Amino acid sequence: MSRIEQAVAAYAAELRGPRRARQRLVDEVEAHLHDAVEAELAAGTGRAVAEEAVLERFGDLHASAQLWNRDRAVRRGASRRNALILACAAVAAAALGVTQHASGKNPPPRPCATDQAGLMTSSCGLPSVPRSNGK
Amino acid sequence: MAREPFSGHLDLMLLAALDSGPRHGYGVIEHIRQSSGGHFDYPEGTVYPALHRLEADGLLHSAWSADGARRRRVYAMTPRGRKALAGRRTQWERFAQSVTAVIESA
Repeated sequence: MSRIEQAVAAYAAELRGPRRARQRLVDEVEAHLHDAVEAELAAGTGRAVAEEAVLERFGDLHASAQLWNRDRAVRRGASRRNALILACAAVAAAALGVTQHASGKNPPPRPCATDQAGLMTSSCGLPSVPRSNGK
Repeated sequence: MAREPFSGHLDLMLLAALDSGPRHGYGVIEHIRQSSGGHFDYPEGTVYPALHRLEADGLLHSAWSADGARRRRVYAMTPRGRKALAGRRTQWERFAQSVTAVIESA
């Protein structure tokens, strides 16, 4: 196993989160490291020195993985918070509807009137509203 | 060189590097290094998490591109990313002008 392959394996082992997202990052980093090694080789550097130089430029693998992990954790937390807020809002709206219904402010929906063919003949589902002589 | 002092401006650099067209991560890093005359030499490991973050924020989008035997993830700016770049560029110009004014008044 080359130094690059070892580094990529160590990097992959540090990542947390969905497998697909982790694999995407690992594939990108691996391609990056190989591109960088090839550039060093093309400049006449020996492979061992090239690999060390490339890993040095990449920086702390652990720090990079932790950066990615932390960002994902923050996003996951924000996403859960938003879901909780939506759920609370939905419960509050339902509770308000029940309260209004019980107090008579929000009458129940009218049943649909249908003709013999079963086609709807009047608007339904909404509470009836008194009409003002067509004006 | 200059690994830490400008780390707070990494997002601006990444967006600016993609302003002229799509690039993969390695290309973005090389562009920043070359266009700064080697002055901005970020630890490359910080760039990929930042690209992923900018994409999650809707400022970039990306897709795999097969170039020979190796696949590379190519990044491009979204309209929202262009807007963000314009805003950050303006902020940076104001900041740089202010610092210059203070230095020159001394």
